[in-house]
Amino acid sequence: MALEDFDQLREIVCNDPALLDRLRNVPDLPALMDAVIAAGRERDLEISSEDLHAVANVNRRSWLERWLHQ
Amino acid sequence: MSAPRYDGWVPFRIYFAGGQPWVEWCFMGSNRFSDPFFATTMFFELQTPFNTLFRQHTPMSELERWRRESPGLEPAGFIFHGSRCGSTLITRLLATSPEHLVLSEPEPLDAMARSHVRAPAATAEQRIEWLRCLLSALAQPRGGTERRLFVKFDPSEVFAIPLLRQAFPGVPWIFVYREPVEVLVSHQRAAATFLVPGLLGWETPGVDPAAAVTMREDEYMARVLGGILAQAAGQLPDPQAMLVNYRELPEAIWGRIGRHFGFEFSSGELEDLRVAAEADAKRPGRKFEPDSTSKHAEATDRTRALADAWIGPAYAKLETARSVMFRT
Repeated sequence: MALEDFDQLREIVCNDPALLDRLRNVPDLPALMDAVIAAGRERDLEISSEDLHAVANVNRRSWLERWLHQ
Repeated sequence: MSAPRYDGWVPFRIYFAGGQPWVEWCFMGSNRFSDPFFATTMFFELQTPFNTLFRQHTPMSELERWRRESPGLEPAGFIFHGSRCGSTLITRLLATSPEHLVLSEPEPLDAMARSHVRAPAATAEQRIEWLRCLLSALAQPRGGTERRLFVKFDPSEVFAIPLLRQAFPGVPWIFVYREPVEVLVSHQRAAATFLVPGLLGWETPGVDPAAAVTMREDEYMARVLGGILAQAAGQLPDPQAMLVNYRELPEAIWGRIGRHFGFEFSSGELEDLRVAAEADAKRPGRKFEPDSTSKHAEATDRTRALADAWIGPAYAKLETARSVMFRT
């Protein structure tokens, strides 16, 4: 459920320039994770630190493995 | 809810699933492509906290829709090249103008140009449409001042010239190349990705995949490099084409390359260009050091023989065609 909640928040962020701008200006990853968890909570979305670390790992891997699927 | 917009988002990766291309986007805002290569800019952009967490994945239909809603700049010139021949200097100097958006070897476009491998059922018309939509998304003005788009392709994309010419008819293009021994020595020092056997597929005419894996590395490199130059020569004559030898740089950039691409640098820009041309194009903090002499000194008899046998004939064809262009 939690990753679905993050997907929901991601969709909200991508369509809300003000929220996107605020999160984009958070200077480091731990602080951004805290901000994302808080932004989720404000919208009744349950997102954990573990979820966000998993998302970060998937995203990092997509770049490192980009030649494998193209 | 209105349809999503992609202002500030850049498609940085194409991947294929179920025979269809998908797009992964990151957020760049109004940041420019300021590094010698698209991949370098992406590498740094993807390190930001926001892009570490937030990406978008869309099917190509979203790019088609985004192209209708927000068409990118139309290409003003394409740059193909035989590698290690000054093509990065050309893009670096073109990018000095705030009116220019320069994409230097954008990997997503390379992947799409090879879509026949991962999406073999797609028609040529479909692949052309994908290329147009992807380039439109990549070519969104970043700072608002850009009026001309230039794209430099990976050397292996010389084999995609016919498809790219169909997708973008009328766009002037150049092919840049350099004396074969100098190029081969450069790759012997540090081989480019496209010269690693099999990494980008096996589409180089004249190089049998079964033989390639047992062939000595320097011979494989010479054959592929020769195949690239032969492919470029095979596209001629073409009224949209111009050949540029490394020896003509950097002056040709503010001379006949600019004219071929339909613009001229102002007199005020020329002095900045001359200063910029003194830097190493791939390592902008360092001064450029001419290396033709050292490369010839480093070449072994075997290197010279391989260059003569596998690259020399196509190089000679290009030089003949270039001399004809100068006469007309």
